[in-house]
Amino acid sequence: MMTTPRELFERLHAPDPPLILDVRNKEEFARWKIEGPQMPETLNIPYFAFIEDEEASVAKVKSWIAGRSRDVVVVCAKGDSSEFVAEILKAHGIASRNLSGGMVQWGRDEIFRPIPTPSPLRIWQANRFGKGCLSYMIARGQDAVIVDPHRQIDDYRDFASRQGLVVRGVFDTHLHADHVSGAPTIARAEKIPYWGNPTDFTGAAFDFVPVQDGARLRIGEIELMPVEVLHSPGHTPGSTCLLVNRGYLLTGDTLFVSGVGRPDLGGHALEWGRDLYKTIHDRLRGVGDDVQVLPAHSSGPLEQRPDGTVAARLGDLRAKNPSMRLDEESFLREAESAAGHAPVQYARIRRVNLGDPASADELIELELGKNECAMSRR
Amino acid sequence: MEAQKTLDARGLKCPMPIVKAKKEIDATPPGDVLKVIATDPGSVLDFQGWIKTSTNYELLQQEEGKDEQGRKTFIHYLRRKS
Repeated sequence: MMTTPRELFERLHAPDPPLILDVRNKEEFARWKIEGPQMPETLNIPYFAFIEDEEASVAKVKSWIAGRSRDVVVVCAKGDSSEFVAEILKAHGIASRNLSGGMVQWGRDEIFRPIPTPSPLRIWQANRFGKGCLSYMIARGQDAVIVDPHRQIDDYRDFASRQGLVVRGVFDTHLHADHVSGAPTIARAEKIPYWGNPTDFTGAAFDFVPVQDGARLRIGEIELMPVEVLHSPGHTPGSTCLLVNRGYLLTGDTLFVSGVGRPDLGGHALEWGRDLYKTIHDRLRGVGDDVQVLPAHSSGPLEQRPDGTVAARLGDLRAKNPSMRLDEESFLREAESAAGHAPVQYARIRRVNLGDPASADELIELELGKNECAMSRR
Repeated sequence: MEAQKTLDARGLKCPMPIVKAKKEIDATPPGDVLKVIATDPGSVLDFQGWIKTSTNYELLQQEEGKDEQGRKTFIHYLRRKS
C-alpha cells in the first residue's frame, strides 16, 4: 500500500489526517518535514533503528499510536527505506502506507487549482506544496503563458494539453534562488519566447526576450493577452510583477500574502530593502485595492483560502500584511535582521538558473528543503 | 585503513547498504574491521546514526573516493567490539 504526495496533501486538509512516521535520520528530519493545512502528528524513528532492533522500534510505534484507529504514513528521503519500514509495520499488524517517492517527490509535486476569473480569461495556480512554491498558467482562448514554472515541465505540458491549451511563452518574475526554473527548458523545447527582466538575466547562457517596465507580452506584433509588466525591484534588482487584465497581480517574490520577499539574498539588505519598500508603497500605488495578489510563494498553510488557492486582495494586504504596515525605518531593520541566513545552495541555484549545466542528481540535491524567500523575524 | 572484509554496496539504495552491513558485521569475528563501499551520499549520516543505535559496533572512519567507473563512493569502516 502506498500513497502519493498529492493524496497525502489532500488528506492533510481532512478532519482525520494520518499519523506521519518519518524514518530519515534526525538531521534530515530536522531540516524539512511534512506540513499541511493541519500540522500532522509526526514521529521520527530512523529506518536503521528498525534494522538494528525491530522489536523495540515497533513497540515505540505501537505506544505512539496508542490504540487510535488512524493509519500511519511512512516517509523517508526517496521512498525505499519507508517501504521497507511499512512492510515491517504491516507484519506486526499496524496499518501503514508508504509515501511513494519520499520527500524528494513531496518537494516536487504540484496541484493545479483554478483562480476565479471573468471569462474569457483563465488562471490556474500550480501549488508545489512541499516547497511552498507557486506558479501560474494564464490563458485566453487557446493561448497560454506560464509564469515562474518549476523544473517539472511535463506537469505543465500535461495540464495544458488536458485543457486544450497551447503554451505560447514563459515568464520568470525574477532570477530564482530557491528552486530551479523550468522556463529555459520549456522555451527551448517548445521554441517559444522566454521573457525576463534583463537586470536579472543579463549574462544568461540561453536566449531570453528582455522585457522592461511598461511592456506588454507580445509574440511578434500580436498581443496575446492583457498583461502589463511592472518593474518591482527589491527581492532582486530585476524583479517584475505582471498585472493581468487589471484584476490580478502576479507578484513573484515581491509581495506574499503574509510578508514580502527577502531583499537580503544578494548581500545588499539595506539597498535592496529601500528598493523593496519603494516598490510595495510607491510603485504599486496605482494598482487598485480590489486587485487579487497572486504570489510565487506560500509561507505557510495558513495562507490558503477555503478553495485551496493562495491569494489575497491587495487592499487586504495593505491593511493586514505585517511587512506592508511597517514604516521605512522598521522595514529596513527587519530586512537587515533577516540577512545572512540564506541556504548555502542558493548561489549555485542562481547560476543554474542562468544556464550553468547541472546533473540530474545535483538538481535533486539543490532543491531539497522548503523555500526561505520570505522576510520574517527569525 | 586495513580491513579484514569488504562489502560492496555500490549502486544500492537505502535501506540496503545498512541491511547488508548489519548482516555482514554480525558474521564478522569480534575485533575485525569491515569496509563498506557505498555510492549513496545519504549513507554518511545514516551509518553514523545506525552505529549510535548499538553498543556493539564502532564506526572507525568514513572517507570519500572514486571507483574505476568514476562514481563517487562513500567508504565506511566498522568494527565489531565483542
